[in-house]
Formats: sequence, C-alpha cells, structure tokens
Amino acid sequence: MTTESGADSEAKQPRENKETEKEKGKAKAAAAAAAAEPASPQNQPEQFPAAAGHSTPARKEQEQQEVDQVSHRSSISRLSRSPLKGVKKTKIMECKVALLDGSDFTLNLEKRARGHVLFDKICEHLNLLEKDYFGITCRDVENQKNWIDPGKELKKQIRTGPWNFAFNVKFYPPDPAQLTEDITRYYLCLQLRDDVVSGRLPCSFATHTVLGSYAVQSELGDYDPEELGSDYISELRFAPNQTKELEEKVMELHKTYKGMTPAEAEIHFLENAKKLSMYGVDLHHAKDSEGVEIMLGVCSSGLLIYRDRLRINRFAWPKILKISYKRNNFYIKIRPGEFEQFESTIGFKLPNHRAAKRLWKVCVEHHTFFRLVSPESQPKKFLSLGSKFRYSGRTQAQSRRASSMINRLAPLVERSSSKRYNMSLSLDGAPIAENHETPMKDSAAAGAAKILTKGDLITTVTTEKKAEEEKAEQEDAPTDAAETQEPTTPLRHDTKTDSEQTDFAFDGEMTATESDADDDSEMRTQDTSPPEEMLKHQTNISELKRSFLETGESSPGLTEWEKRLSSSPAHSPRGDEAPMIEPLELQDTKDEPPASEETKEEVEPKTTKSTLGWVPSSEKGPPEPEEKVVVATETEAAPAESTGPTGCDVVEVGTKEVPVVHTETKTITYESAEVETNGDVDPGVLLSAQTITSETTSTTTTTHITKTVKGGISETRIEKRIVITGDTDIDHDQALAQAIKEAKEQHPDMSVTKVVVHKETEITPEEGED
Amino acid sequence: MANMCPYGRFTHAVVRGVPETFGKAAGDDCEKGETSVDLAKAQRQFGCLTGALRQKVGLQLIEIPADPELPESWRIEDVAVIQGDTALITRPFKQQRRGEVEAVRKVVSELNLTVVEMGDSGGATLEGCDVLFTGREFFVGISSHTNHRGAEVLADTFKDFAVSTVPVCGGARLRNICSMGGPQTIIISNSEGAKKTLRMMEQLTDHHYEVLTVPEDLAANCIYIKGPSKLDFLLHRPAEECPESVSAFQKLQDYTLLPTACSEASKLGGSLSSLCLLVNRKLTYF
Repeated sequence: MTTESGADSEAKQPRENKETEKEKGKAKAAAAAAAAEPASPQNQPEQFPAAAGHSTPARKEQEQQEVDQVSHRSSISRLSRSPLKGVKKTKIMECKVALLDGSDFTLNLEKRARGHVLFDKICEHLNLLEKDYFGITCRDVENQKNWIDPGKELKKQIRTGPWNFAFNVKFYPPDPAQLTEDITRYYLCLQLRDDVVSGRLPCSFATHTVLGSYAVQSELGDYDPEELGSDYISELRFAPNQTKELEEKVMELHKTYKGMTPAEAEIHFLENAKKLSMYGVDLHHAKDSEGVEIMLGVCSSGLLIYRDRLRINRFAWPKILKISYKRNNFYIKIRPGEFEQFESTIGFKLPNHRAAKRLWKVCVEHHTFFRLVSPESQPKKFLSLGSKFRYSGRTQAQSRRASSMINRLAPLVERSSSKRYNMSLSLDGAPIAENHETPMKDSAAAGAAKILTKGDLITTVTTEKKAEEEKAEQEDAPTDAAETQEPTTPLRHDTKTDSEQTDFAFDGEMTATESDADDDSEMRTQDTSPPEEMLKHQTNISELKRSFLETGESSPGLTEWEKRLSSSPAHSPRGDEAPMIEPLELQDTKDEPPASEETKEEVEPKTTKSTLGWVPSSEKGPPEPEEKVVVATETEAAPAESTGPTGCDVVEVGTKEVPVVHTETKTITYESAEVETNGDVDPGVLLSAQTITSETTSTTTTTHITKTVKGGISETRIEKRIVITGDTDIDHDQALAQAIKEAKEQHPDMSVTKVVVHKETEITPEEGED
Repeated sequence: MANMCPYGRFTHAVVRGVPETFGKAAGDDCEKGETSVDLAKAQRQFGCLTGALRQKVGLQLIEIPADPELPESWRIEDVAVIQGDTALITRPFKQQRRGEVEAVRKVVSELNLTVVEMGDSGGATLEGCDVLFTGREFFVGISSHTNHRGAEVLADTFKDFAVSTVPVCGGARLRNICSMGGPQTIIISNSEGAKKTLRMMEQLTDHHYEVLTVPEDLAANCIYIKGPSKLDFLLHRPAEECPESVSAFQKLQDYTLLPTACSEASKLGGSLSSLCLLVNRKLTYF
C-alpha cells in the first residue's frame, strides 16, 4: 500500500501516483482489510504532515486528482466510497480528528456528509460499540467547543476553517463500572486523564498520585525498572503542575500494582475519578441576575451553580420544568418548592448568544440522556415556535440495554504507549497550543499501534445490525428491552427533519424554548402519546405537586439564602417532629416513581405507532405483549377472525385416515384483503429468518420470524402457521378458536390473515356414483 | 482513593488542655456576658472526653498543653480543618485567637500531614466549627466568623470535594446545629434555623444522607468515630444536659453510645467536637 510514502517521499509523488493507479484495485481491496485493522496508526504520523497541506476547506472539483492522491496516501481513512471512482460530483473534505490518545485520525468525507457519518467512522476506527457516551467536538471562531450534531451536515456546523475535530466523552457515566466493555472504559480513562491534566477536573495531590499510578499501570503495565528505566514516569503527565514529588509518589504506588491488568487499573482509575466533585461537570461562564460572575455546571444529575469554586446552588433535573434561552440569556423554570405555589424562573446572562445556545443544548442533551428512558419525539411542525433541537441519540437507559446485548469477545485494546506529554495542549488547545501540536503528534504517533481488532467481523457491525442482535435477544426475553430497537428510529427522524431543524437552529434571534416533555404537561399535550398516557402523566405531576405543597408553612423574612432556597423547591414533605432516622427523601429519589412511569409512557406510544405498521402481522414495536391490554382474546370465532387483518395462517385440515385412494379435496380460503395493499412498500433488507416448529397431537405450529431493516427501522415479523389436523372427531372450530386464542395471548398484536379449511373426504363408492 | 473513605475512620485525636484562663476571654467577647464557668469542672469534663477517645474508642491521643495566654485555645477544632492527608490551618475571626494555630500547625506537620495555610488571602476567615465534612463533601456555614473567601480557600485546598456554602441562622455556628452521626447520617437540631440550613444542604448535595433530628440544639453536636476496632462510637451529650434527645440516639443501631458531659465548654459556645481534631493516618487506597 501507499502508506510507506513518508514526508520525505514528496518528490517521488508523481511516479508514485502512477504506481498507485495500478494498485487501485489492490488498494481498494486493502481498504476493507484496513477496516478490520483500523488505521494502522504507525503510518499515520508520516502521512499527516503531507496530508495536512491539502486540507483546504474549499476544495475545487478540478482538484480531484489531488484529492485522490491525498486520500489515497492517507489510505488509513477508510472511505465508504472509493476515492478514485465515485467522486465526480461530490466534494471530498479531509477531516482531522484528534483522538483521545493524542493521535490524529485523518479521513476523507463527502462535503455533504452528516455528523453521524464521521462519528460512526471514528467509532469504527476505534472499535467502539458503546458509543453513546461519546461525541465529536469542533472549535468555533471563539475557540469554544461545540458538539457536532450527528443529524446535521458537517459543513453547516463548521462554517469556517479546516475540518478539525476532536473525539471526546460527551456524557460521563456516573458509574463507569456499568459500562459493558473494557475498551469503552479505556477511552473514558483517556478522556479523564486529559481532563485532569488540563485542570478541568481538579483534584488533590493525593488523588493525582492515585489516578496517575493507575494510568501508568494501565499504559505501561507492571513496574519494571529494567525495562522502563528510572525516569519513565516523567514522560507521562498526571497533573497540571507536575512535580518531582508527585512523580515519586506515583512511582511508589505503581510498584505495588504488580500483576494488575490494564483493564483492572482502568476500573480503579475510574472508581476514583468518578467520585471527584467535578467529574463530568461541563462548566459554562455566566452571570447571575445581579451581575455576579458564576459558573453553571451541567452534569448527569442536573445543573450546578458555582461562585468561585464554591457550590452555591444546585437544581436537580426533576426540579427543572423548562430550559430556554433568548439572546444571551439562559432561563430555567423551577418547580414550585415546599413553600411556594408558583414556579419561578431564574435567568442567567451568558457572554453571548452562542454561549447561551450552547449551554441550552448541553442541558437538553444531558437531561435527555440521563433522565429520560428514550429521546423525546420531534415536535410537530405546526408547533415549531422555537428550535426543534432535540437530543436524538440513545439515552443512557437505552445505551445500557443495548450494550448489555453486546456479544463479542472483548476486543484486544492495545493501550497506546504514546507519550502524552503534551496531550492537554493538543486536546484543550488554546490557539497557542497549535505550535506544540505538530511535533507532539509526531512523537505521539511514533509511539505505536493503537487498537488491534481481534474479531474482524465485529468491526463491521453497524448500528442497525446491533439493534438486530438485540432484537434477537428480545425474542428470548420479550419483557426486557423495550426500547432496544429504538436506536435506529431517532436517527431516522433526525435525518428527515434535518433541514428545518437546521434552519431553526441557526435562526439567530429566535426564542428557542425547550420543554421537558416529562415535566411540562402543556407541551406534552402536543405529543403523540395517547390520552390515557397523558392522564397518567398529569396525575403524576399533580401528585408530586400536591406532595410538595402538603407541608405548607411559610417562612418568614427572605434572606439571600432563602432566595436561593425559594428558587429551589421540592423539599421532602415530612413531619420533622419525631426524632428518628428519617430518610432525607432527596428529590431524585422522590421523583423516581414518575421516572418509571416514563418508561411506560415512552414505550406505549411507540407500540401504538407500530401497530400502524404497514406490514401485516408485524411487531414493529417492542414485542412486549405484557405492556399492553390484551385485546379481545375472546374474539375467537373463526369466521370473524378471517375477515380481520392479517397475521396468522390457520390451516385446518380434516382428514380421515382411511387407506382409500379416492379422496375429495375441498379448500376454502378466507384471506384478508389487506395483505397485498402494502405491496408497494420497500421490502427492506432481510437480516435474519428463523423458523420454529412445535407440535402437539393435533396441531402443528410453525413460527416464522423474519427481521428486516428498512429506512433505518428494523422490524420483526412473526408469522405463525397453525395447522390443525385431525379427523372429524375433532371439533375443528373449537380447535381453531383455541389456537387463535393462544396465539393472541402470546402476541396480542397479531392478526389473522388467512384461514384455510382444507377438507379431504373419503369418496365412498356411492358418492362417486352420484 | 485515600480521600474517599466513608466518614468516621480516625486514628488520632489532637486536643488542647483547658487553661486556667478558661472563660476569661478578652474583653471584646461580651456577647457571652456574665457566664460563670467552673474551671475544675471544665477540666474534669475535658478529661472524660479525652479518656473516652483514648480508652473507649481507641484513638491515639495527642494533647497540646494548655496555654493560659490563649484562653480559647481549647477550641482546637476551629484552627484546623483536616481531611485525608491535608490539614488546612485556618484564620480565626478574632485577632487574639490567631496565635492558637502555631502549636497545632506543629503537631499536624509531625503527623506528616500536608499543611496548607489559609493566611490572610483577601481577608479570608474561617473557623472549623463552621465546617461540616460528611465524607463526601464539605458544607461551610457562612457565619459571623466564617466568610465566603474563607470557604473559597477551603475549596481550593480540598479539590476533590464539592464545597457548598450554607446559611447558619441566629448567630449560631454550623457545628452547633449539626454533626455527623455515621457515614451517611447527619444529626441536626430541630430548631427553625437548623431546618433552614438543612434545607439548603438537601438542595446542594448530590448524595443521600439520613437525618437524625434531635429536639435540643445542644444535642446536635456529637462525635462519631468508627474506631480501630471497627465499632461505631457516638459521643453525645448525656441525659442530664439533653434529657429529651437521648432517646433519639438509642435509635442508632449497634452503636456504642458514650454520653460525655460538656456543660462548661457549652456555656462558652463550644461543644464536644470543639475540643478535638480528628485525624486518620491510616489512609487506605483502593
């Protein structure tokens, strides 16, 4: 491959290019292989400087030749389409992504590619399946980090400058031990190491030593003075201001970890890091209503307000009814507190409109990811007063379920032994850091291979496929995994409505209001959820409100403290009189019941939708019969069923086992007309098919399960074919009704498509003569 | 990490004897007015407390000799905040108390703690009796003696932890109205002011605590220690001093309750916890 072309081979380019022309086919074939062995990183640094020279944002089509060269040379970037072939009309952009280990990943994408394309490619490169915790950032003109929206085109999110990105942790899991794969924890560790070194995650000296020592163990393995040398430790960064003393302490601890595997070291690292008070807190500068400089911290549990490192307030997600922004103001509407009747709105001033919007988005996303069971649906068009922005990825709940289904051998994670000496500079790069960047990267990349994939097959697993795998599991445990098939859905939504979304999102002065669907019943009404759900939901809210108001006793004299409190409601209603241990009933716990209600709410509408499905007998929604009211199991009369729509073939065969040659065959078919009406719909891609047969004395049930994916929605279709066989002694009608009833109980969604009564009658001589 | 053990593991206690000038605080302390204190009784009570810490709980006791020049030096809690391997030497509000820190600084450095000085940075004042450390976070009561700047220095010193500021009402100090009663238990008084403080704490915390409410203010200050023997000890005010609250402590299961009198120190606004600094020198990593 062309990867050997180093920076020094610049002169040989033309010739090389010819060679590569010849090797086209070979290279293409190799690209597939490259997918399995992502981005043979040894080559990366050499290519990078050369490739960087070409990374002008506005590339002309005439430059195609050049593009080809570039993309070819950096063939580590596995293009979905061959750079040499299908580029006639599409502009190719070179994307440079700073990875968490300090290396760069360069790849070429169509200019019109959406964020998720890039994201998926990076995750594939990193062999990362639990990707929902991660995201791509990009610095804007003010050098502020912005998250790339996966549903929107990259070019609309970049505006100016080269296509430089960074791969980062977006949602810090509160309990990293719950992540399924070690490889995910590895990347989380890398992020946290950078957070620590850059000072974003402050910690004490003692913590620096502990975290540092686990980082060393994870990266270098056991302490071994012969192999590592005596000064190995100072090549690594542990703290913003690293001292010799710290290094010595780290080494001291490192010595005690003999035999600890990298994965174990990372677990220890994370167990310690997660307890830090600033773990996963995304800070934003702001001013309060009185103009005092504060910081707003967004985290998994809510919004934190700091004044000079001191926490002065905290609003847990359940207390926040609404988040909005207008110009450079950011507002939160707070649920009424114990002593209040009305909600209050608190406003903060952000440096500018973009900052306000950025904060708002981060809040929306964190709230959705950590609090909701599944993302909210897109608001309908006619409602679109504000931004249509929604978090469209998977929520933590969905992600956890999905990753619990991950079924692969733990991929081999080769911890990069790159010297992350300057890593913080490169990742957190202030513009000045740019200078440090290039040399550092060389050395970093000179380091080594990053991730080796063991299971080649697995690398090619796509989201949809994953969803499919989950579904396969679902068959076994239908009650589980209500929204495992979800992941594909939101993506699709997103793509569909993208352009409008973009318009609104970029509509500068538009009041963008986001309301929490789970909290704001008004908004909720506009949702697609069925009325019963609505009612249930409102009950919850009013219950909550009532319980908050129950201990209504007004406090005298508002002090500054009380202002904090009054704007911060939801105190546990309880009689403090009895001296006994009382659970504090923090708000989080209190709101749990509604949270679990959410589960149902989220599930139900989807199932409802699914019944609208175009395919007969399909279970588009989660196959969760338990969740539903079992509908009309009593409609068992065969004729009635036969007119019903689709689903279950009941073939009734009456035979007389008589060794007589003459038989008369009579077949009556009742078939639903609806079966064919949907014929024009895209049949989708068949992913799997499975047939299960079970037999009893008189009935044979054949269950045929097929799974297809179309347009991002995966669908499981279960066809049951029940054949009742027996002579006339059996009451066929009864048996048929019974069979249908049983099938219905299993799959309430099921509908009967066809009833065939097949009668074979022995022809007696007399009859024959008739 | 070392810093993240559940609250209550201590190996050492640092105390400072009751001087004969006990109760004869300098003239500006008129708020207490004509309080008649019994020096001998105070010293006896001090002896009982240290005895309990050493013999019952099993801590190593370090006693700094009393200094008659420093009449309030027995309130050793005020002059240092110790967490993990770090000791923050505070800057007490009253000028005449600032001399108290010297002896304490010496002792904590001998204990191999990392000593951090609050110093005079921006007029910071902070006293230990306005600080509640729960094992997972700090609450700093902004009071007549502790200011925002002081809390900031504390936050800078103990970077691992959230440091939240809370109000204390009616001239009280944070530790007068609450204390830790277990790794996840806060003992708090039932007064209106305390309730207000508790509400703020509830709002600010990320963690879950159980609350043990006691009817008397005085009873809310206890000392909880999980001693070297892994038993739960609670030093609390005896029935004579807090008759209504003793039953509340009975509710703490499997605790060894150690009623410890503190009536004399109490007259001067001190309490059990005022009399000692607790240190853990057996930091365990995990």
